Amino acid sequence: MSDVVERQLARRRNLVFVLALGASLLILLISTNSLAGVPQRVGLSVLSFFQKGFDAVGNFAAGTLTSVSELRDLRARYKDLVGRMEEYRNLERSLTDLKRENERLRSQLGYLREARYRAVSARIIAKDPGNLYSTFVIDKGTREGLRKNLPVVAYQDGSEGLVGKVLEVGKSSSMVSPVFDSSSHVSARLDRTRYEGLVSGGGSPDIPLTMRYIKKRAKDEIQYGDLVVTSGYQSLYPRDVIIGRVTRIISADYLTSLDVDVEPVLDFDRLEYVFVVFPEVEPGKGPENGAED
Amino acid sequence: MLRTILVAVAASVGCSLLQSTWLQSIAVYAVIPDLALLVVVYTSFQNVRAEGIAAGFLSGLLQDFISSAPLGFNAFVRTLVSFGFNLISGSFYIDRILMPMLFGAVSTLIKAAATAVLAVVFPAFIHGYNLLDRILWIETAYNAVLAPILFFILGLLKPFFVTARNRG
Repeated sequence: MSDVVERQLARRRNLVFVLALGASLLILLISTNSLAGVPQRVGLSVLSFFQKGFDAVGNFAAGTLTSVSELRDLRARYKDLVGRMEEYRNLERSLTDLKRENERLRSQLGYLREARYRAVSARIIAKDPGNLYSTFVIDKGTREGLRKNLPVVAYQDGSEGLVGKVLEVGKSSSMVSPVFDSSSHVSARLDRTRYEGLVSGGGSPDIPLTMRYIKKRAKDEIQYGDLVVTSGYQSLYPRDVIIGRVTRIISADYLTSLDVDVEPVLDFDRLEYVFVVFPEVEPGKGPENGAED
Repeated sequence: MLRTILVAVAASVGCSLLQSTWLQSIAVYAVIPDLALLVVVYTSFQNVRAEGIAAGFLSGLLQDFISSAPLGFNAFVRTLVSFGFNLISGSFYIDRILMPMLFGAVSTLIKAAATAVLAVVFPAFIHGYNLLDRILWIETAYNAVLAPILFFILGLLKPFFVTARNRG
């Protein structure tokens, strides 16, 4: 190659580099000021369509492989379940009687019917393609009424735990930021002693959450294993949703408050389904209780 | 040139989608390889012209849509990495194992350095790699191990990834 051609090539390459770098910086500047939310939402909607495809193909392949053994299990379970159904029918009758009695007693005591929240169930279809961010994508979006900052919870091993919040919403998918994300801060309280604090994420599900700004006088009252729940002071999260359990108490003389390490109650690696929660409704005004879908 | 860019972008975005779905099941300590970056590195090194840089920018921008990183973050990082590998394009012979491994490791470290710079400029939005954390080193090793395999596969499809006038 002659010098002139080489110089031309280098000039063109540098021009493309400067243009691409300049464009990405400009986009970065705009997006960090949240002005570029619209293209990101559109992009999420389009690309999550393909993510759903990948997820579906993967599930189909895995499902086919396991379906033979599942069929065998299902037959055995079916027999077992028919027997159990008979038992449950009898139990249901007793339960209905107990519910009626409970309602009667509640109304006598003047309690309002508890109307905490309604929720939409969603499946996790993808995670962040990089290692620096811990967000994941669920298969519900604006079509199901989801919007930014809605809290997300999950049920695992019989208990409800806080997952995080909706970060970005597409047409039929949404991005969820988990509670262990380093940008996550949740107003919380210790369930037993009622001391308040702020739970922050460590950036990875393996790193415990940290509850900060607890009054120092709480030191003698806090015990390992104490439950940490949402305080409900932020309008974002409903109150009394379990976040985790105390695993370590950090008390330094030079600090004016206590810190505790909190192990999330949910095992995030095993999460498949979550519930996106709608804010608390005013009694008589909002939608009915119970999970949808 | 345009075809090369489109093919490289499609391959890189395909890898990003794989990373967000199937590759999660082969994560080592929750760390996944960055195949999308390796596709960009291959394209940048194999093409003397700016195809790799354009592909890096576009594929990075598309990955930003499915990531919680701010829009422009991956575009910036990939543009820088691809420019680096485009500068040394054609300078030396690339073998089957060692050079791809070196490319995989070095590209991850350049990505980490670019991320660190952006994390300083935009601390509220961008998470940087921690030098003492295992994430960076596992990802570097993972990319180094997978680069020879990926480069071999991309080599079989060379006519699609290398513009005719760039081919040796």
